[in-house]
This record gives sequence, C-alpha cells and structure tokens, in this order.
Amino acid sequence: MNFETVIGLEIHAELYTKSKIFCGCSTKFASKPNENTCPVCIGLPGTLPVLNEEVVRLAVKAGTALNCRINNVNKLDRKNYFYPDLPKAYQISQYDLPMCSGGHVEFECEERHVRVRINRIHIEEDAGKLIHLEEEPFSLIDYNRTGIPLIEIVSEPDIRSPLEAVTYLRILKSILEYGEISDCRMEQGSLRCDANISVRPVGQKEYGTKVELKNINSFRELQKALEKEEKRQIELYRFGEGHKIVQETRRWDSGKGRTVPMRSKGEAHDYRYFPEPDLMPVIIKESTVDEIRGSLPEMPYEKAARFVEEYRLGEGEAEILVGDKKLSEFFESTIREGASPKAAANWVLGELLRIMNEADLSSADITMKPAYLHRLISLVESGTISNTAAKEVFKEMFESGGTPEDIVEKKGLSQISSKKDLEILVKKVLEDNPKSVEDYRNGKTQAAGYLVGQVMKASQGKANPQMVRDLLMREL
Amino acid sequence: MKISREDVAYIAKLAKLRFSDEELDRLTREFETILTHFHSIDRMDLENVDLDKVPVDQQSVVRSDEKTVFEDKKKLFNNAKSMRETYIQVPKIIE
Ligand SMILES: [Zn+2]
Repeated sequence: MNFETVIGLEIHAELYTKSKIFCGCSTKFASKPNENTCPVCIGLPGTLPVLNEEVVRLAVKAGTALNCRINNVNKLDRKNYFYPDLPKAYQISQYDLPMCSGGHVEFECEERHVRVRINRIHIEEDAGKLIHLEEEPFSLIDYNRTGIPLIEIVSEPDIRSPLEAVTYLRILKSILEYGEISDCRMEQGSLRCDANISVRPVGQKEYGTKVELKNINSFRELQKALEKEEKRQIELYRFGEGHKIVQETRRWDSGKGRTVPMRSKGEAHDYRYFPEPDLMPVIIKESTVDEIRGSLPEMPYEKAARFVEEYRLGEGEAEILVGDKKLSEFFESTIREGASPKAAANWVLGELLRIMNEADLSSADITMKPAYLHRLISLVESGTISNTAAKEVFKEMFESGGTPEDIVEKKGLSQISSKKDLEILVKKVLEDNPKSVEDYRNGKTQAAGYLVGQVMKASQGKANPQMVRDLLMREL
Repeated sequence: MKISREDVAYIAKLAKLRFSDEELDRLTREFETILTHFHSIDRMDLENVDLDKVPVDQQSVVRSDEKTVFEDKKKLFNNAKSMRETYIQVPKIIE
C-alpha cells in the first residue's frame, strides 16, 4: 500500500521592532540576562500593557504579503497557563479573531505546483527563556524575550512531503525578510517552526492521526525531523500497528536524530482563553490596509522575474540569488558599480557561494565591498591578472576585506603585460637556448612550446602567455 | 447561562486555587450573575456599527515604537527569592 504524507506548519516570527509589544523595553538579542525588563513585561501587579503600533503595522504587512484578508476589528485574548517562562501566568495572544486570515503561498517543488493556504496570522507576545542547569537542581530565568512581538503563521495541511515543507518555509522566510517584517535569524530563534504531520493511504479522504513536532531550529532539522516521523508512522501502519500513532506532541532531538514524546494525551492544556480586559479593540481601517499594501517592497518572486528579464539570468540562477536577500543585494550592487551581470553572477554564484559554504557562513557575514568585486573583474578583463590569480585575490578579499589592487600587489600576482619587460625576457631566453632556436628554424615547430615555457619560467609565471607567444614568433 | 459548582471547582483547579464549600457556593452564584450580564451584551445587534465612527476613547491606545529603559533593576527583582548574577534562580522545573 502506498501512503501520502500530510503536513501543516506553524511558524513563529519575531517582528522587526525596536521595542517590545506592550512596553518600551529593547528587543536587542544577546543582551545581559534580564537587562531588557520592566514592571510591565515581568507582569508586576498594577501595570498596564500599551500596544506598540508598529506591531500592528508589521502584522498587516505580513498579511498583505501573504495574500490574506485583514480583519478590521481586532481584539487580544489571554491564554492562561502556569510555567516560569511566563511571569503573568498568561500570554497575551489572539484567539478567535486573528488579524489576518485566508492567505496563500504558491511554488513549484519537484514538478508539483504547490499551493499552501494560510489559515491565519495572529500577533502575540513571546515568553521568557529558561536554562535548566545540568549539575544542580535549579533553573535560571531570563525575561529579556518576554514580550517580544511575534506573529504566528498557521498553514492549512496542504504540504505533501518534507521537501515541500522546507521549500514553503524558505519562501515564507524570504517574503518576511524582503518585507522587512522579521530578520528571520533561525539560529537566534527569531524564526521558529512547529510541524503537524500525518500519513494516510493514497486515495483516502480523511486525514490520519496527526503528530505535532516541536523544537525545530533549522531547515536541515525540519527536513530530517519530518522524514524520520513520516517513516515512523508509515512503518507502524505497515505492521498493522496504526493504533499506536496517537495525537501527541513530540520533541525533535537533533542529537539523537529522533522524535520523542513530550506531553501525554489526557494532559491536554485547557488555556481558558478570554478577551484581554486591559486592551481595547484594535481597529484597522481599510485605508490603512491599502496604504500598507501599497508600501510593500519588491517581493522575492517579483525580483526573480526581474533578474531573468533585466540581467538575462537563468531561472535557477535568479532563484538562488533571490532566495538570499543580502546575496541578491550584493549581486545587484556589483552591477551598479559597473560590472557586467554575467561576470557578477559567475563570481557570486561560483566563488562567493563556494567560500561561504566551506566556512559555513551566511550572506550576513559578507564584508567585501561590491565595488571591490567590480574592480577585481576589471583586473581580469584587462589581462592584469589571470583567472586563477583572481580566485586567490577573491578569497583574500573575502577574508580580509582588502582592495583587489593591494592584494595583487602584496602577493605579486599581476601578469607581466608590459611589452618592454617581456621583450627583455624573450631575448634572454633566445640567447640562452640557441639549440632550440635552430631546431625551430629547421622546421621543428614544437620547439616553440619549449621556448614559451622557458619564458614563463623566467617570469615566475607572471607573464601573459599569449603575449609571450606573439613576441617569440616575431623574434623567430 | 447555567454554571455548575463543578465548573467552578474545575476552574479553581486550573488556577491552582483552593476553596471551601461555602466559598464554592458563593462563587458559583457570582459567576452566574457575571456571565448573565455578558450574555445580554452578547445579544446586542452590532451589524450596522460604522467602524469610522467608533469613538477614539473606545479604541486601543497605541504607542510608537520607541525604546525606554527601566533603570531600577534592583527594585524590579526585589520579589525574586533567589538570583544568580542577573538570572532569577528557581527550583528545576522541566515540563
Ligand atoms: Zn518591559
């Protein structure tokens, strides 16, 4: 029997604001523990939340970028639970009136046209961070993250494979980055992902029992966790043990490479949602929605189409560049400095990506100036340095941020293209090798190759081989 | 709106509160009164409310996205039983 996998994702993205959602505390990452706290975000009695208007603006921006309807009348609700990461013992979130609903994202994946519907996007506050000490019976609490504004983007179960899930997440991430809605640094937790996954026999209408996977921190982990869980469920069905799949939350343990149950059923939380009485309804007028929609910057799919049209790139090339906003900006800046699109694309998609992958760096780590890459390209085009030397210069530029001219000079990489210098070398080689000269003149043309080699050797490899050949022929 | 004593006892358990029998009886009656009031608000017909005419004082007050710093951190964590450097230290709790 063949099985079909059904996946839905819940994505939390930290909004790109300077201050928290209900107080003025900073949202800066990696501050000293509890540095960014105040009576409001640690939930002292008597304090009142005041909504950050930028949070509403960014959530509406996300909704319009993802083709959602924007709700005009919004309210916030309390989600109640007891855990030390939540000082008020409730999280201010949205329950039955999310700010945005009914959107979609479309893409191609392995020949399938995928349309993932977005059920809802709502705003909420983040919780604090707990560190459980290994050797001691204590946990440590840092409330810096408490009250950081988030949007939760909930998809419908329209995804059919782990690879589609990863592709969807990548596209969503690039849309949020392009819209300057979130910085989406997964390694810093500003983009987090939970996945619901079930399998069913091909052709069956009803969904199988779904399992929720938590604690997924990268694209690679998302794919691995889903593949592992997909395999676990299919095997249970195949061995007639489908009843062992229960609706539960499982934590992805990346170290062990498997999912483990988190909460047992029956302990399901009852959050007793109710409207937040400390906040009045948030009314978003249609004119505000239109204004925000009109101010949306160029989206990744629009940019990819433009790159193909304007720079004559292949669709695959355009997609790789556009999939990484900073990389695409570096590429375009290099062209704006004067480089040809073809040369810029070759360097960025070739050497730059190769070096970044090798060193496990992201485009945020690029310190090289686009102007320097343009100048390096010019040095190759004018014949000042060879292609091989240029790669060496590029690597050095990437690492040190120096100018190409300085590096060429320092490493002595420039080709000897000055005719006068070359003529001296050629004459000397001819004088030192009378036998080869005679051989050549007697018709042994391969002697020329030997002579070219001798000149190159005398120049320590810095001579321009074509010029050497031309000069030799003339002298002979 | 019918609220039972069991409903109140269940909510008390969720809120980690304990009540005597007399208190439970009283709270059941009070819950009932409060919810009946909200129920009548729920029945109001708001179909034709014009959003542009909702008075400003009935809309959420918002603030602009500006940073402020609360300086008196010592006072802020006065109630914490135990601190380790700037972390709050609590008995280990793993869900
Ligand atoms: Zn605060």
